[in-house]
Amino acid sequence: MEFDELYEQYFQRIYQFIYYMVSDPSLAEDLTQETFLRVYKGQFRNEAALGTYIRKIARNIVYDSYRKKALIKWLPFQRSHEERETHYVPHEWIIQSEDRRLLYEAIQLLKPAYREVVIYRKIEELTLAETCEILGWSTVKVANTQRNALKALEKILGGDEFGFAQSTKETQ
Amino acid sequence: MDLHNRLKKLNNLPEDQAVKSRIYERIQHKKKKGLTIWKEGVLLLTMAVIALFLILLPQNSSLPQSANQSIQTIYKYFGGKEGKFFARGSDLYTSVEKVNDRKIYNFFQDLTHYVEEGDGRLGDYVTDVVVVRDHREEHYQISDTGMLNIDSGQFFVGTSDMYDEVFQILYSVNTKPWFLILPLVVIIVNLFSASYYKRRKLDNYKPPKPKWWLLLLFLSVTFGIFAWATWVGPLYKPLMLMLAVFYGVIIWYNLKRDIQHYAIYKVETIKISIVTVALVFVIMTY
Repeated sequence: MEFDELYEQYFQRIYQFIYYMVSDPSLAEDLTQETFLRVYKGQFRNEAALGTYIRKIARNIVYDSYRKKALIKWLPFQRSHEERETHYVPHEWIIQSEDRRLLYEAIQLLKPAYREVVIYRKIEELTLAETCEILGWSTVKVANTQRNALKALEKILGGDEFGFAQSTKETQ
Repeated sequence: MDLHNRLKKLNNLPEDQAVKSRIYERIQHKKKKGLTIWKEGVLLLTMAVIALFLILLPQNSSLPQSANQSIQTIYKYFGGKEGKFFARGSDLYTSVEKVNDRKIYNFFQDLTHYVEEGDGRLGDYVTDVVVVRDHREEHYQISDTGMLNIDSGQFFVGTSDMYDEVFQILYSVNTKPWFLILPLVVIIVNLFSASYYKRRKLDNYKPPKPKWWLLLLFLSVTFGIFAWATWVGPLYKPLMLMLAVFYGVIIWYNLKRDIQHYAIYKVETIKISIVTVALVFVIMTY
């Protein structure tokens, strides 16, 4: 597949995933760019589906940015202009609906592993097998993380009024 | 509406065309600039500059031992052969040693006291010697039967006890068992990595095998090195160090592109670093 075609097909999914993971439009833009640059430079060997391959790269880049952020906190002698703060800026589309905003903010409060499982399994509705391949986890680990993530999300949102019991039943 | 359906709706984040085209343009711009190779290019250029610096470094930089002594340094190469002169005027070459014995300096200060010009051939036991006198190199081969001035072709017969003593000192082997460390290090790092992969259940993600051209390159370079050492002369250590580091970088670069698991990448990087450091150490001490 040509790069242009690939970019056209996967841009939105990758940008959305990164945006939900970092919650900063400018950082999401940089990381999306980095993802597609790596896709361009890398050698895809048809060992996985192309979508899985690109998602894996995006995930690695997001985690790299988390690590960098954690490291920068500990760096001494850093000049103020060199510090990169992440700015929580919800997308306009998200704040247009109160329900979306609440849900989005609740997802942002989840720890990264829970957040990504919720994004892959519940938002993007990837299959269990695809999620396992992207994360490099076993099926059991993905299922357990998904259950715990939904429980945590329910707790943040306040109880089972959002149909958590039904949702978890479906996952099991 | 249940949580499942509500989450599903978050999948419809509208596509931002401005962001999409901005990123696309930046990627196109970077593609044109050849971003894929600039890091590797800088690395290779740095290595080449360091190599050039080391090659151009003056070799006879040792200072006179005293103000009135004309011999600056003496170097020896153990195990020479008649007709082949292997010693070099610098200990930056493998197997070339700087001689520190005062007797040797006294001997070469004025040879006429200890040897006589004559006819003859070198014996079976030969050591090559380079005497740096007034910043100029003189080349000798000293053997059990006599010594040869390579530059003038004059043969000298040893006529004194001093000659025998000097020959014994120059023909002594200074054993350097440090090269044994290399196979030992290779075995140890491989054992550690194998046990780590087993413990972490990473056996299925074995690192890719080296490519055929990489093996060919390695074998050709190794053959070239041995051929040079056998027929041409000692190897220049800085160049050998560059080759060792360059080889480590090539192996690491190839593994980096093929490895699919981060833990394996880390372990393999550490392995290559340790083996390269051991190789550098062996070259420096050889």
